[in-house]
Amino acid sequence: MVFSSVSFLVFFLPVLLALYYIVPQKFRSARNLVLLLASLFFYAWGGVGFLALLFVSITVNYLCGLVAGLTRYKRLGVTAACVVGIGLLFVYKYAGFFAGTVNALGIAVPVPDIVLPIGISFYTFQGLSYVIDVSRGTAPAQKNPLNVALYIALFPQLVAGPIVRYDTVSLALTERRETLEAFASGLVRFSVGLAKKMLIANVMGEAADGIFAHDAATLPAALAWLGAVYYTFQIYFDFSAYSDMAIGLGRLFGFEFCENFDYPYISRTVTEFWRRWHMSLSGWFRDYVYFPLGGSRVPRWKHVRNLAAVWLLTGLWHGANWTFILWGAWFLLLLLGEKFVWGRALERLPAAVGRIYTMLAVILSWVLFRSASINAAFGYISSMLGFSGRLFSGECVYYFRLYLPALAAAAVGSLPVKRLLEKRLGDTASLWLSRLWALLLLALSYVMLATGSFNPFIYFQF
Amino acid sequence: MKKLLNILFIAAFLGFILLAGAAYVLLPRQTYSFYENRNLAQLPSPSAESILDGSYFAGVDRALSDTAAGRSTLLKAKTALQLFLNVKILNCPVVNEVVVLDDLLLPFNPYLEADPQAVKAGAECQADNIAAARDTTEAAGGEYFFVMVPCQYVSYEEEYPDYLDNRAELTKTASAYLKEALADRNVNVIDAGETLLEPEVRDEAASRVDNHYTMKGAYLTYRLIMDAINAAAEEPVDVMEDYIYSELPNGYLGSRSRKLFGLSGVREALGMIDPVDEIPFRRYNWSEDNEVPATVWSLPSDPREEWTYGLYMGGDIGYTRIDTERPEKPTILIYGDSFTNAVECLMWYGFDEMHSLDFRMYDKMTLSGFIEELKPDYVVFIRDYEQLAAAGGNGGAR
Repeated sequence: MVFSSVSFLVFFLPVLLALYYIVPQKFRSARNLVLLLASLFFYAWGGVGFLALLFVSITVNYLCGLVAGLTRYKRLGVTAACVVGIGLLFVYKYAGFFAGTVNALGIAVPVPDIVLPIGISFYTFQGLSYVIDVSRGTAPAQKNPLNVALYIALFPQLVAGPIVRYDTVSLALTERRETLEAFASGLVRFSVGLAKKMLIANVMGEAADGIFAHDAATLPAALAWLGAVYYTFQIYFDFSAYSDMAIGLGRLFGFEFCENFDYPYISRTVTEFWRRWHMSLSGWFRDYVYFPLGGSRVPRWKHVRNLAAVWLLTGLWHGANWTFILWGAWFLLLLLGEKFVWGRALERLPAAVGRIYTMLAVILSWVLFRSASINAAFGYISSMLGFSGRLFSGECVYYFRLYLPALAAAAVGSLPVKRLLEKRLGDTASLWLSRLWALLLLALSYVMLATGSFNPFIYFQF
Repeated sequence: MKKLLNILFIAAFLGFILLAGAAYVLLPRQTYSFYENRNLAQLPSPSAESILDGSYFAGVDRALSDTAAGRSTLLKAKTALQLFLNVKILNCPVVNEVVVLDDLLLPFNPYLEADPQAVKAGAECQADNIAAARDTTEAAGGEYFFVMVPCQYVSYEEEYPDYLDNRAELTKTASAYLKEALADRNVNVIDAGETLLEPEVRDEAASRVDNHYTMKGAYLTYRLIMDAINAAAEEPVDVMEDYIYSELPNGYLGSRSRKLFGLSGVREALGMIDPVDEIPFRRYNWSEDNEVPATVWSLPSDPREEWTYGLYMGGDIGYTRIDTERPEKPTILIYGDSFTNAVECLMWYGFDEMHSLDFRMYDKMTLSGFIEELKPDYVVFIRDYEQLAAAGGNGGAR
């Protein structure tokens, strides 16, 4: 199930809220059970068959958490959780990719055809986060398996994050309080996220898809850039929208999840970009991979090695394709360059220069990210550089004019306008504005939801 | 104050989604969307397999999207807003895949780089099929004619804004390849475009709201076909020269205006041509023994109701036979897509029987089997310019 659907908004959410709040607050376990069952139903909507793997993940992490909570066996617990969790992730997400790569090297191996379970990357990392935090002593092991299940399967962040660190919610699992203020602000956040998805991300996606569908060899440079920019906005608004909705939904049930995006497109360096983009993932890799390897407090070659490990894994985490590895490598090069080569010079330049440099780097990275293959990525980038031999076409005019409102909204929405407004307007006016704005966005989003399946039959022309 | 504001806000939010849910549950569910010309997805039946793999729930999502509360009204409202925004503000007059001009609605043609070799191959394949049908017709003692007619976007090529694709190059390429291929195979070709695209004729012949020609355009095509037939015929075939032209009072919802929910403001009337001398006939649809009312017009019951190109012959029907019970006159078989429909309303006039086939919906016999059995005196295949290099559907009939 997705948040941006009629089934979720009009049926699942109100029914869940009714069932949840009908249980008095003092019966925390009962409320948790309602939430857990609803989360499992939410996940099963994508296929009941996928629940089995989720249960395995929950069970393994629960047991490993108990083991990791024992001082003598913490290493065993963490190791077992990593082997099973990452092993399952490898089988379901990467086996086909590696088999394909081995085949490409001339060694014939069967390529398995495995359906990727939704959200496996997210809940695997969450499960590992639980076991590792228990082993580090930052949170006690959960005796109640239902609480572990709730932490891992909680529907707001189950399929697309943010990756919620166990130590940030361990208390909330049993001792949270749902408040009117949090509920209201949760609805506002959810509405904003829904609107970002329906009004901007989907529209930018439609434009990007139309342009990327072209043969790159004949794509005019201006159109290629336009497509790349549209995709740059699509991916930000799609992903951050989901995080907004997840955070908003969490608040409805008394959870306060960490922020995942902090206006990444205003960054002046790539280093800063990664402090603002998908913060829960970069934080996870920082705390569970980079720091344990020694971080930056090691000889330079080890520092580079540690960064390379993180960025290889970050690329791979996003998908089983060489394009993602190359994408990770691209950022590794830029981060190393900023750290050891041009970082100081960049700091001395005007902010605008830094922002342009960062946006160019990020836009090119998204072309890699979106492309089905490395050839396709280089083909597209070649077109952006004018190697198709065409700079402009009428199609550029079409794609620019038609999508201008969404493009303008995306550009404005990428800036910290909300913060500026809150400072200018003060608390009361901000409160009113946010609530009214949320209702308007909800109505507009519903219009897009209800009309999204508009599809006049192609036979129409006959 | 803050608490009250929050309560009101929460009530409004929840009230909105509860209302939408209640409307879905309580209101009768739509099953067909007239403006989209398709059946709306309905709730699927569950099975163990579909629940396990998630396809059942995907079907539920589709059904809920297709039948969301207020969908039709919201679609119209959204279209109206886009008509204003795209046309008046953004200066990019494309709404719901329709190019909206001052008094003209054209199809938005997705930009494509046509591969000349693929176009040639398609044209050659279609020419092969046409030549095979011609051979079968002549073996059965008949005469075969292939008729090319311009579709709407070809008729109004130069009206497109210069940044939109009018497919002019593709049309020219496909037409040239097909004509060359048919000439190589000695097929009788009638290019109705040579007449219908003349500046003084075009505006009357081509619809401004629909992909097809107008009744006047269909009549001109009919006359071209009859001229060709009579040029080849030993005995002249009667032509409907004296006729009464009338227009349906109902608004015309063409294929373009229908996509815009009739909101574009571009108006056109549906024309009808009836012979002055009434000739009785019997009509059969889909099979030889399924007799239907003896009329070529499918008329609306309410003059306020918007009507479509389905006026002509009742729309696309796999097989139709009109029998005037005049065995001394010749028999004609006409086949093709919906461009045949308006011509069929006239074509029956000079013949004992007119048979009409549309192989997109007819699969009881092949074209050659039908011709061998019927032995028509004349066989006419009508193909619009958009399909000149497409060897599928009626282009694949042989």
